[in-house]
Amino acid sequence: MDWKNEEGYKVLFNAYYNVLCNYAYKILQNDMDAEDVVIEVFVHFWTNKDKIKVEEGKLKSYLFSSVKNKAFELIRSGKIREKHNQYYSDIMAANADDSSLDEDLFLIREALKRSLRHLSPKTKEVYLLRTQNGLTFAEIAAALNINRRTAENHMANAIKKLRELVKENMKIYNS
Amino acid sequence: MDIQEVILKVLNKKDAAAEYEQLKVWKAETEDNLKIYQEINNIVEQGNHLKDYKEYDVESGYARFKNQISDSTNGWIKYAVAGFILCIGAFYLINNSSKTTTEEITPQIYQAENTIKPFDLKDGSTITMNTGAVVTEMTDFTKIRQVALSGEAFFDIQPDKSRPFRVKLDDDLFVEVLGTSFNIINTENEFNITVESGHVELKTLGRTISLYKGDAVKLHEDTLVKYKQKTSNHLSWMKKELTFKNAPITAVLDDVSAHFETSFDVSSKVANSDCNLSSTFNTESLQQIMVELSKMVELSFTKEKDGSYIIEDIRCK
Repeated sequence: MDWKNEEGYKVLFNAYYNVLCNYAYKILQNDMDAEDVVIEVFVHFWTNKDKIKVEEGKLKSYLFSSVKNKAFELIRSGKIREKHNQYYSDIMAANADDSSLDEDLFLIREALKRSLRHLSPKTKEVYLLRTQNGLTFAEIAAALNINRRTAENHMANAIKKLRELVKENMKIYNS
Repeated sequence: MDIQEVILKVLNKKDAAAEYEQLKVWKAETEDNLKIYQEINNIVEQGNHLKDYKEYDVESGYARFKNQISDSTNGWIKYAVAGFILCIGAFYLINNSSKTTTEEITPQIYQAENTIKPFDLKDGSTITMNTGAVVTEMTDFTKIRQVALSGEAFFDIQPDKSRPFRVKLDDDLFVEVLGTSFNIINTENEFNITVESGHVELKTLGRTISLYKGDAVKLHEDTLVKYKQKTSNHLSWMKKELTFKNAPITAVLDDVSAHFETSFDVSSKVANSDCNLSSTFNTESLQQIMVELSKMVELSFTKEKDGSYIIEDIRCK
């Protein structure tokens, strides 16, 4: 992805803004701080685009690491109110191998969220009831007044479509 | 196994051990199988996380980004020592910078004067402060327009998508708007927000309350409660006018006591009466209004030494 011109940077921004805000939120637990940190990282990348050389395929990691570092820096600076300090120091201690901050999982969630917009309402509903709410097919069938086999078919259909859509939506993160 | 079967086995693997065994054998057969398994598993597992996955406003984020890069005096550049960072990775650079996300300025403090009149902020927004209110500008308004408020004030904010306007009310209590008008009371004893136009977001740690025209929020037993305004008299301190249109007497008494900062002790007969009235009061004193009310709905009342009133009886006409 050529991100060093204005058009390319906008594509980069659109692709990453939401997922990075979610990532920062995971650390900061506050929407405003999350958005501030992400915007600051984007401003920094743009302002220093002539000096920053990103290795092939490493852009994604640089963005996530920058957001993570910036977020932890904000916590260390003591701008976050005290009663959450323990919570944050716990996160920081666990940070080294914290799978809850796995960037690839965040990218899959972002791609899934974008992909869901392309499913039919019923298929989407069955998918969410099964994965988010943890309902069994029998429960879904009862809730939606369809038979169990139909619920299973909706789900299989959802996953088949989502596999393709997620692959498509993930392309930009691997370029 | 066809894909459909694999999908159903992935979904049911927690419930049925036999299914899981079959699946294990199948995914070990070829690399392709393993890949398909992982893809399906991701879609199933990560679906569970979508309920916590938020949608941020990318457009206004981009507008804020554009606004900040146009501010070329940005302190970042001086940290980016030329030739220092090559392939090391940009995040080290960010890590080394000590600039924080809020702009530090010498705060400009505004205190309420004796006469209630609006004053202009540098972005063209206006604030009208009630007696005793203090507004502090917390940023220089280049990236984010942020002020702090104690006391009561009415805000009429210039729209600007790239620079949200925030009113800080407590450590983790903010109002955030892009352009709108609203009234806030933020004192030790009272907390209340009412929206006159546009959209206002009240944000506390991890929670956002969206408010539109006619909505209000108050603090009730440490909980923020959203409600609809019954009359428009919450701005009477600024407009110097109380207006009632077919308003229940209890609402009238509430608004009058709030306006004159006094209290009414209301008998149960008055509290339960269904008298309604319509009237406008401008320059009248409290005593004059009480006399007026006693004519309209035969209100009988006694004034106490401390300035409060006991409202004993009422009769609708």
